[in-house]
Amino acid sequence: MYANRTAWTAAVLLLFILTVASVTVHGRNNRSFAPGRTTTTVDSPEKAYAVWQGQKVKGRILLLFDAYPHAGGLVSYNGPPRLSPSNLVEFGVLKNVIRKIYLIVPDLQWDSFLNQKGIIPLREVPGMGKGVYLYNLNGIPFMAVTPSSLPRLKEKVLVYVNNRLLTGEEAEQLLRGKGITSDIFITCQQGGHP
Amino acid sequence: MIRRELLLWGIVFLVALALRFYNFSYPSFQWMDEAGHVAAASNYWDNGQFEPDNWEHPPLRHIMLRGFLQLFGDNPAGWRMRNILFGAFSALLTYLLARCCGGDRKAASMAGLLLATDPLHIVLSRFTFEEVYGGTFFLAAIILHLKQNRRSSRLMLSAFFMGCALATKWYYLPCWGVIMLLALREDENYRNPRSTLFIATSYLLIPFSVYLASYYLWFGRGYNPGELFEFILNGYHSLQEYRPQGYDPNLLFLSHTSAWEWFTTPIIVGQGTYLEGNRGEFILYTNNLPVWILTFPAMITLGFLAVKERSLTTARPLLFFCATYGLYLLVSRPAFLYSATPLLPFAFTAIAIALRRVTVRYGDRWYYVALGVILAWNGYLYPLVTARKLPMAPYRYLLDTPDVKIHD
Repeated sequence: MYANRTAWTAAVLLLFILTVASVTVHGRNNRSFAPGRTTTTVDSPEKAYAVWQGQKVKGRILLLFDAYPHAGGLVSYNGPPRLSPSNLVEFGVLKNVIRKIYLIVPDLQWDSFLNQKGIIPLREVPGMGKGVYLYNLNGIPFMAVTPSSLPRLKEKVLVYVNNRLLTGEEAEQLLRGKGITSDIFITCQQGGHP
Repeated sequence: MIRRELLLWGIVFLVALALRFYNFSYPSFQWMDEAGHVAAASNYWDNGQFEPDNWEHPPLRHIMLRGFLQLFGDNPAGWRMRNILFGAFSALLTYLLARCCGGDRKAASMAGLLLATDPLHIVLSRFTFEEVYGGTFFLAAIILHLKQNRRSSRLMLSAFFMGCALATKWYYLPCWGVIMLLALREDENYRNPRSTLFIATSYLLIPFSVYLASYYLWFGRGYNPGELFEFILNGYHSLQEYRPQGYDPNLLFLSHTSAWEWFTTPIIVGQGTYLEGNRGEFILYTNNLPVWILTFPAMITLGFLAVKERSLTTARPLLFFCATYGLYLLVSRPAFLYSATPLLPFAFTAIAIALRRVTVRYGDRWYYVALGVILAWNGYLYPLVTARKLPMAPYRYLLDTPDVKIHD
């Protein structure tokens, strides 16, 4: 007969609840949002990072209206990673500004996107018609999704729009339609070719 | 009696420690995966990120390595002392496992010494491979389960160590279930709702808590428990996609990617330098086939004896071996030789108990002959796996076979 098994069962249950609570609170405390709403246009991708930094945001979801970003991982840098026009998203991940990415892929380009070199789908995103998790070296949840399959997100998101892909107004319209709100909405006028 | 047992514990532990500790700081630079493991430990501690190590594996490894780096510094002692100590403890735990599986002191000593002197376990214990300390946690969990004697604290400690093992790698999942079922079966605990609840709660929630806690720094990036579930599923799918052609072609282990080969085919891979005067130095990973090949016959013997004697105690090494080995055989991704490490305590326990049964029948001197031959063979291989400068002639027949993969 195990001694004090009821008391130990309760203690183990409590330990588990406390563990879940502590990691939940720790995660929530490390998510920072901008105090108001900022909509801005930048002329170069890396300037978007200065906007995020200025608003002291971290641990955030990024809605990315752009081409598949640079994602070579730490090994692709000679020394500590430095911000450049081509690595805004990865730099944001490495600095823990971004914790999750929705890469918006136009519906018409979906099939060709999946066949692109370097795109490694891990699995379909449950509940999304056209949405897949993509492999990346950092392991962050990185989803490619079409506008029509983009889910309604409860959490405020960071938005980055490459103007060569679509205009800020078009992106705003999509988000309104999905009931998604954003605290920092950045349009880049000279983003690279999508 | 107890003093004699303690003496044997001491011998097994000290032999294992000495073989792992001797000249451990050579090479003095981070070797093979060490560079990635050390950098990832700091990156996880500072940023909650896994690079440059794989993100799919749980992160207790990083926390432990960071602790050892703090304790010993960013030098060979800091990088390797964790594995040296845990590797030595593994040998002691293998002794205890054999005792829990019906082995007498002679059988247990043989099992412990087989692990203490095994070339693969030694080489992995001298670097940062996670199979060594993960395997030690796993073994500690099993032994505490087997020696719990219905003591709540031991059962919970067993669950805690199982959590530590699972927070290192997923190898141990099947045995986790087996242990829980055995605990429920013991003394018909499953018939008592309060005992059932206690065992199930302990074996499920304590490992879950340890696993979650190991991700605490990852949660510091803003994540929530639901996203950990999402992350783990992605990790599982990513691991299933691993294929030999996706690895760096220079990876030493690529020549043998099937777990079926571990106990049946000679495997020797590694790095070596040919020196002047017909000498060389090598760090080789080998499955030590002359010993390992006894695993299947020993397991079959134990299975036969367990059925004949209707003894679950005798069947334990076979049960734990099959539960763990089955996973390696079923996965579609490559299974490299170092992944065999968690199986070795069960294999050596089975070999030692089976040999002991034979030598009891034919005379004790055969036990000493068998032990002496095995230890002499392992001692002969020791310089070959620990970068000792050695004359090539006595090892030429091993190194010159076409299947041996040595990168200069």
